[in-house]
Amino acid sequence: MDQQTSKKGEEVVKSQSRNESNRVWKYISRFSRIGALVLLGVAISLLNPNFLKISNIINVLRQAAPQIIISFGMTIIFLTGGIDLSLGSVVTLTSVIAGYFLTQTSLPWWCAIAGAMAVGALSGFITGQLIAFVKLPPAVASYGMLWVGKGIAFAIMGASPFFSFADQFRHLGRGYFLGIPMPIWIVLVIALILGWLLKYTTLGRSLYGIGANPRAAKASGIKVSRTLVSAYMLSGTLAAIGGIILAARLNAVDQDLGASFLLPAIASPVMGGTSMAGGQGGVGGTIIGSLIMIVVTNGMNLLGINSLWQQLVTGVVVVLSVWLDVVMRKRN
Amino acid sequence: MNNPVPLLEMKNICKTFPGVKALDHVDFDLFPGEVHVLVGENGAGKSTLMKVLAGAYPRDAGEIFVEQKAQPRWNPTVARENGVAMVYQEFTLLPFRNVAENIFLGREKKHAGLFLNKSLMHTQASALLKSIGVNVDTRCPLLELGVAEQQMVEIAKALAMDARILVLDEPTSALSMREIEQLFSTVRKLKEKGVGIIYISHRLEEIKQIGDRVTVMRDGQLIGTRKIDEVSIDDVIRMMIGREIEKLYPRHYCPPGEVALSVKGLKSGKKVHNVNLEIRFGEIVGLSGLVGSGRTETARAIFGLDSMTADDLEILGKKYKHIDPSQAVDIGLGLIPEDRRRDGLFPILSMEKNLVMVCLRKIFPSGIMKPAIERSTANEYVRKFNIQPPALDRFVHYLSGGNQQKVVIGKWLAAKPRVIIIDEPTRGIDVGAKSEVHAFMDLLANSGHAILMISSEMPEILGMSDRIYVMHEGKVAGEFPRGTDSEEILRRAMGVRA
Repeated sequence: MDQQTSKKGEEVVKSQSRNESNRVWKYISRFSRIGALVLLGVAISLLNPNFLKISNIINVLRQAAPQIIISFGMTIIFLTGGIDLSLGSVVTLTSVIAGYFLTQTSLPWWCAIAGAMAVGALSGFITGQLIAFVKLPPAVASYGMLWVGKGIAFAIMGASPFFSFADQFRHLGRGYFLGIPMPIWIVLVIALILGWLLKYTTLGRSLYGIGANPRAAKASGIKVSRTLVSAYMLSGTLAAIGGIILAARLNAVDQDLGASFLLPAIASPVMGGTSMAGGQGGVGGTIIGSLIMIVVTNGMNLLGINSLWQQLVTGVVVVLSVWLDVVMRKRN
Repeated sequence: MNNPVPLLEMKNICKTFPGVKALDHVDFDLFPGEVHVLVGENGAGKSTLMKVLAGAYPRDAGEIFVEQKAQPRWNPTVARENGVAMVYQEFTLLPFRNVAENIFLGREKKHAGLFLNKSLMHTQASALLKSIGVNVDTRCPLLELGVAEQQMVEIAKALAMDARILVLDEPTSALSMREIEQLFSTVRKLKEKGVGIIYISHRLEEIKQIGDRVTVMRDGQLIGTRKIDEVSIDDVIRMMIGREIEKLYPRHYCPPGEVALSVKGLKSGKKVHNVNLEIRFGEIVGLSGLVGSGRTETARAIFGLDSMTADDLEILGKKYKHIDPSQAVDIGLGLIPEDRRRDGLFPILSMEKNLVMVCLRKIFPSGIMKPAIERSTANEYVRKFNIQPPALDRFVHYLSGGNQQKVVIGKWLAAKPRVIIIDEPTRGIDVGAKSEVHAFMDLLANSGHAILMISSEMPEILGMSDRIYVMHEGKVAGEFPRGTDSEEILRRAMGVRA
């Protein structure tokens, strides 16, 4: 009996020390992403001091805002173990909707925002239904939605792009509040809300549960279908917010506005430590992941690197950072 | 035996898993052209012995001889080289490939070592199938064949690898009467070819039909090997059970209360045909039966995990047509699943998150979580079940099997269900954890919960249940009071009528 107790004690000590080393690795791996971002910033600023100027940083962040918000949407979907390929096309569709409301109707400017967000949520709702009830694989359902969204955007816009929007609307993309651009405020507010939602609500917890083990989630009485639909609606709405900010900043929308956001939206959460397999990650990491991607792009622009090479470098950075993450995870 | 040289001898085989002596000095032998039947209850050590034979498990002690040559190195490759082949209950064939492709999978015949020689493969495959009395088109994709034919292809595949020691694990469990006849004639052909066959089965009637000798195992030990014409089925059953039920089981009987759950005419999928049962508060009801008799499926159907129909379903005084799992949680029904890893655990989430997963909606009805309440709830169950190590932030992935089981039970009890279905409560956990789980079930029942316990372990069924239902082929084949003889239950589970 005594022996057993002492054995148990030993086990506890062992597991504690293992826990300690686990925790250390956790910090290192979390730090590794911030560290990578800082290193990147230092390296670029050594080559071109303009990078660290406040004006440049604020400019970078403002430009980054739509991408970060769209990546938040993808993060939520990744947590459930799914993927939403329609996000880029939803960005296009919703910004076109906003543009339509602003230029082709006499409704007040905020109707454009409400309309765009409603369409974003609706497209997420449809994608979610296809996944949760028709049981299509997420990639297939959202790929279908990609083309549907694109098609509708074309149909609404016809040949001529919408441009020249109301000032109040443009304020969302170009305005300042307390000296900081509006898009940055919007990112911050959304990040706080999502962070809270994922950590402190049963909906957020259910998302992690479904991603970690969908069978067990169902068997544990989690409302899997309903939760999945909510997740896709949320990501559609976030894509709409991204589209609104984009339209407001550019003061124009066209049919190709959103397409280029899809791949960064996939890469950013992964670089931020969100597992595509589901159940692990969060919005904090996604901010860092997005920033790494944006800093690389901005840095290369500042350094005058040919855009052909920029794409290659972006690819290498994505692969390297994910590889780093995989290595870190294995050590854990 | 005409041929006195044994094909295979296994002597003094021992194998220990943490906490369990799975094989305790077991001897087993096999002659060419013989069908040697291996029987025993679930967990008696049959499959462990066969895994040692296949080289999948290294043995802790003991010797293996093939044709009287000692085999000091024994692993999957050596086993295969010596002609050992397994045909499992679940087939390992590719459904969309044709018969010949399956038979020669990984060992394709080629022209110049490069291009597939399809015609040669088809000729050889059909010759092989003919030699065991099977007539199927070798160009037919596997999924178009019946179960029995697929099994024949599996056997042919083994023969194509020059199998001389063929293990058939529950070969008839999925077959109809006619298909069984077909299988037996194949087995007879194999005997003529001098193949030695180890035949594992739960269907005792078959032993007499096909076997030459029978070996009975129990609790990892060899109970005896007999010539088939020297034993009766009753003898075999007695050898399988033949033990005092240990006094391990802490069941303190208390008189049952109202009916908590009753279901009549339950049907679901292919495995549940017509189940009637009821559970009362304060009762532990055992649900016994062989693997595949539809016990787990019955539980899943009641809980709403699989689609089902029932003439009548009444839970806690209310009638339902069917329920879904989240509704089940809300009304106070819990299902602690058989397969913890698949249906119970979130391995990459922390113990705390696992423990509150089921009760989320109950303890946070507003949808907003309070970390302090979450932590104290989790802590309560860590303490209650003595989960080791008590580290709430740890991924449950790293816990031992017994502690994982405690997490799964704990997360269910945190939702405070009043009717609990628990499927294989102690599968794969060590003796200490087992008795903790049993003590807890006793406590639960006596504090007014209704418990339906599905178990493949006869001692557990006998030791813990106040009442026992026995299932056979998707139906409740019998109901027995506490204190029923295990032989009686086993007979009913095997479809022997009283």
